[in-house]
Amino acid sequence: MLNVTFYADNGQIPHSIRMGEAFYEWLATSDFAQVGRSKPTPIQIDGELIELPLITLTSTTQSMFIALFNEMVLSETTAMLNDLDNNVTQDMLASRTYRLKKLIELLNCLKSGNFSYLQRE
Amino acid sequence: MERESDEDKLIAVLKRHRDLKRWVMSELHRHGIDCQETYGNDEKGDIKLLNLADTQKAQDIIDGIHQRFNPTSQFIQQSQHNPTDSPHIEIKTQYLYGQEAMTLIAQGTVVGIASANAISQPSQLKLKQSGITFAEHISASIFSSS
Repeated sequence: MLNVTFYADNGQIPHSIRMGEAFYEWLATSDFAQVGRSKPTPIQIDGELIELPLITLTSTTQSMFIALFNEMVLSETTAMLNDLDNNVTQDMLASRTYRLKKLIELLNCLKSGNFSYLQRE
Repeated sequence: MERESDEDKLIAVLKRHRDLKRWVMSELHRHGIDCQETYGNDEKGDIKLLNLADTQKAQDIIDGIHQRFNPTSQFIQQSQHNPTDSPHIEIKTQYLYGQEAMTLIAQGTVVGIASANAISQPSQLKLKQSGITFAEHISASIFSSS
């Protein structure tokens, strides 16, 4: 599985969102890849100092991610309601539900304000 | 030279993940272990072992891969794995830290982890205590398709 991980710089435990290749690929080709820029950043985790490609969550970057995920959640919810109206297959619904759950998880991490960095690669 | 966009980097991560998964599967097949990649967004893991009886053999292969890429690594005694009727191998391309290791342990289906990146020492200890074998620092030069 792949991950998008949120890190704090105050020693708080990071939060990883595990996701399948299909969802990661969908994210990679969305506007998600256009917000912020990853830079090699030294960080202390598990008592080890390592360097990871991180995006600093400045208030501007954070707001841009939140606006993006709000928009994606709205768009996916609308699509799901259409799917329900059109009696689509359970497989299609399951994929849509998974996408929505992960988007909401990403959104909640950003809204919490607990994290200083995001790792997406 | 043109600067690589972040979208290119994300696609590269995806490709690295797929390439490593296929290489691990080829290693398992080479040793007679039937396995298949999982599809969609299956949370159980990336590679499913089709025969429960192959679990220990697959773990030995993952351990062998670890020794190959980390010849001086410290030996950690592995505990007996909690039985699962659906053994999977997890593929990692990002640094694995303790809390995430706990998530994988709690998943209950992962019996081995193959990573192109580092696995923190606390994670390694927790994984071995839970009977999960791992291989870290697998070189991209061995699994990259191009």
